[in-house]
Amino acid sequence: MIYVGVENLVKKYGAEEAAVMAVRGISFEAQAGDWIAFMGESGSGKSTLLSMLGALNTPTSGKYRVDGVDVYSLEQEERADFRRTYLGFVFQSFHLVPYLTVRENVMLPLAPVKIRGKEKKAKADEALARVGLDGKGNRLPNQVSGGEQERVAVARAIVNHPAILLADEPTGNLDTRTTRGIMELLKRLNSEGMTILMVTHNPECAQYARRVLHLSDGLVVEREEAEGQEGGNGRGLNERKEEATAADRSRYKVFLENFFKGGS
Amino acid sequence: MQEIRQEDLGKIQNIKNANNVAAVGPMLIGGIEVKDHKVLLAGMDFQVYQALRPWWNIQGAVPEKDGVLVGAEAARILDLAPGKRVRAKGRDLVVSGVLDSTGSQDDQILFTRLDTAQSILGRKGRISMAEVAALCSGCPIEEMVKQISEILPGANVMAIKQVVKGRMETLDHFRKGSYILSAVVALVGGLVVLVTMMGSVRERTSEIGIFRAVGFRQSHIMRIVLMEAGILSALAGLSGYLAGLGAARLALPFFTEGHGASVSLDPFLAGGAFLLAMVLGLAASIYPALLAARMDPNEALRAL
Repeated sequence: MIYVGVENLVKKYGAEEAAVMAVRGISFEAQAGDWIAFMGESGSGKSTLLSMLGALNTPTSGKYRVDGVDVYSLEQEERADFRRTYLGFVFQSFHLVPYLTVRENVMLPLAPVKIRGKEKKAKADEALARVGLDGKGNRLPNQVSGGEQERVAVARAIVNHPAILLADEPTGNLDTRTTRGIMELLKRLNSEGMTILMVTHNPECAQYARRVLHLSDGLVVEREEAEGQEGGNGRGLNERKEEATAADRSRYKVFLENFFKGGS
Repeated sequence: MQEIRQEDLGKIQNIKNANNVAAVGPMLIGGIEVKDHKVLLAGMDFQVYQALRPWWNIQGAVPEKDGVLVGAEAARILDLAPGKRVRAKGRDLVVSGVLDSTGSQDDQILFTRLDTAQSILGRKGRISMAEVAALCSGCPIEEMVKQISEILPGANVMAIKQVVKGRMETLDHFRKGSYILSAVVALVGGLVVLVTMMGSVRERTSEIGIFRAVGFRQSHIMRIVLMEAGILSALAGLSGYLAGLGAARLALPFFTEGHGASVSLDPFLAGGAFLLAMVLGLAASIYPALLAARMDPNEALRAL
């Protein structure tokens, strides 16, 4: 069953001649429990794509459906509700609020939810336990290590039990050992059914995904798929690198032609 | 005018509202003839004149025994000046000072010490009237008049409306001035709150981005900013009232010269200050709150 459907997403900044095309028409589909990694150079459109998938940014054109909901047809306040209900964010630099304790940071997505404080605390502690941070809820973010801060960010992202986890370079600031720990954590969440859409520069991290979409100049230029789709996550990608789809190739070709003609 | 005994004046300190009595000034008034002019001689207690006639401006000094203070008009008519002598009922008095014009009947009177006047007028131990000053806001004047009438049954006790009116007018001017000053302070305070909250919102752009990303609605962000402004404004209103009360208590002796006036904690004024601060703080924070709520979450996250 298609859970996430992205159809020809385009994002243009600025107007007319000064316009910059950050995303030129990206399409993909993901099933519930899928794990897709987006790779590419800086400026390839990965972060813009992720912000659009997070309903933080509105595309110039294109469709984005989650669980049958046309996300961009939602009003601003409804989009906030959508983020709270369906999405969990893990940012590259953790983005924890420094004056809140670890537990309070994790409780943030629950703040607008009408449940009792005790219950919120219990949910936050449960999320912290899932990421292996039991007993560290009362510490401030600067009182835990970088890897632990990333785990706090993951705990905050999953405290609402979202269907989709959006991760922007989740291990960008971590050493190899800690990176592996975080990826194992994401793998566990994915195996529990959570769909993960992850931006990464790190090929090792991308190995955990079922599919990798390589982006360049706002287009998908290559798609890689893991061997076997059923429970194949974490087993590494197939060496067979599938060529970009015909649609991708055609879009990229048009882009290159325009580029060499002097347009974009 | 029916005279009263000087010693009876002490009873005024026993009335129910004695705490509101700031000063009691006995006065004996009688007519004398000076240089073929009939003038009034008033004997009074110069120790309390500043409380009863703070508007007096004396050129010279207050009179000692056998001295006399001359009203401006009387000094002009009788050609008197400090150091000159004046003869009243066969007794020589030295002019110690001349009053600047007050625009009241004081300008036509010769003032001397009470005992000197009693001696000259031959009315030892007697006084014609007593001025009682009650210096506090909202003093029950009519009630005090009634209480004094009861303890001095032979005396004709009445509120000196003119004096009260004059003082009330001064107070009224002062009050109007203070209202204008308060309005200016409130306006400046509102602008300070606006600028501070704008700064706070800009400083917290990244936090707002995180809040929006994790699912806070625009209305949630507005509520957070306004709640913060409300709490700070409430604290500011309360501490401002207490600081003002403290400052008023410290400054009061300098204005009343120790005549027992007091400033008490007024719950209505405290409530008013509290509410005004809340309303002002919240009103000044609406724009920053809207700005925070309408912040593009994507842009806000880029600030991280």
